[in-house]
Amino acid sequence: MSIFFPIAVFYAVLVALALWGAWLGWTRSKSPTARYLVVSMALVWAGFTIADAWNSYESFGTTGVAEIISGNLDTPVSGSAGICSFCYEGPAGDVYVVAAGRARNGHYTFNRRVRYSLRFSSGAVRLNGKDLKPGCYIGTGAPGDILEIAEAQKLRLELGKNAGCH
Amino acid sequence: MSLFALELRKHRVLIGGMLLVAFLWAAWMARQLLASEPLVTLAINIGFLFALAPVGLLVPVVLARTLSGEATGPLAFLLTSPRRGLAHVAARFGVALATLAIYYAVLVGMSSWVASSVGVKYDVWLPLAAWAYFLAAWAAPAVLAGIVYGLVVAAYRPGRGGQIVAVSAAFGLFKIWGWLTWRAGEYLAFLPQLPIPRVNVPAEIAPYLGLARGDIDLTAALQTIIDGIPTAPAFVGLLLTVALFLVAAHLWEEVEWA
Repeated sequence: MSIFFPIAVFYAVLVALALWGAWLGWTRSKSPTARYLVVSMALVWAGFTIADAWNSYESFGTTGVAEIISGNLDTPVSGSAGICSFCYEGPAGDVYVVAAGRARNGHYTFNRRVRYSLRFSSGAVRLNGKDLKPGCYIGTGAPGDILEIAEAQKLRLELGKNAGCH
Repeated sequence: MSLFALELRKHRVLIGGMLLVAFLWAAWMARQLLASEPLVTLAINIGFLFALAPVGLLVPVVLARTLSGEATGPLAFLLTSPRRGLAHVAARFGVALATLAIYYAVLVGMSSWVASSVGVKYDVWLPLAAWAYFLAAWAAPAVLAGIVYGLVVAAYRPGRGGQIVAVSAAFGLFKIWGWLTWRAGEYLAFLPQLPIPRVNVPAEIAPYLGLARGDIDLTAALQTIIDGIPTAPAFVGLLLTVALFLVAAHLWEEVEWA
């Protein structure tokens, strides 16, 4: 059974409640404003709930939530930053992301051959010993490649075949 | 007797109680500030703020929900003739917003006094801006959402699913509010932005906030992620306030005077 099944049941209950509210709202009042308001808002809620369900279903397929839960996440890089504020590392859409508002003393090693995009607005970053200027770079990393972050602001490293400088 | 005074009189216990709690809290904080170590007061104040913040967020809805109801209360005889729904909603909204304005002014004023007395440096306009922003972007639309909620429940006969209907509508409303605020960030980016406030937390306070030692420049930290404080949520709040105001006025005339 898919891990999404209990979540789907939850969303289905919400949609049922919204549609029930819309039906009751239309049939049980004489006030036109109340009827139109309730039906439109209840249908809006149902629509958003269906969209939420679809989005989370899609993200299950692309971001590897099942892998995170099961502990079998395939990480293209491994490493960490000594000091990091506003940071995220993990699946994001169809890429794997290492992002930081501000990072210091970071050290990451590529685990496998993977396309990457690396962007940062300021700071000192070295890829395989080569100093990089602030900007955005696209390339393909090989196993053992090393990314060193002495200090960087607004850093975003995307990994995966859809990594890009958009 | 004006509708405003009537609303005030009908709900004086609730409103008086809310304001009394806020003022007692302020008096207690002032005593702490003047009589003892400001840093201790800050530590207590932060605990209080974290405890109060979620309650404070819900206050507009709870207040509006309590204010809403049928026009045939025990003091309805004071109304000599039915008036326009707009006037009734305006009175109720005015009473609620005035109460909340005082309530949040006490909270914001005390917090900034405590902060400045322990040496946190911030722009002078910050407390006033935070107060106005919160009222426009959250409190005003939330109060009207509460009033509309009450009127929607009243539009359905008891035992006929009024609560289910109102809950569905409320969820839809809050969803669309969130969606509008999110989209506004993208499409109303041309609106003027407020500058990032200058906030500097001195080194001796940092441990009380659970942060690393050393001076903390919140402005620099925020500048790495945003360019300014967007005003779009306040405009969305204003738009919703107007829309819900009209809906509430219509509902009043159909439900209460039908």
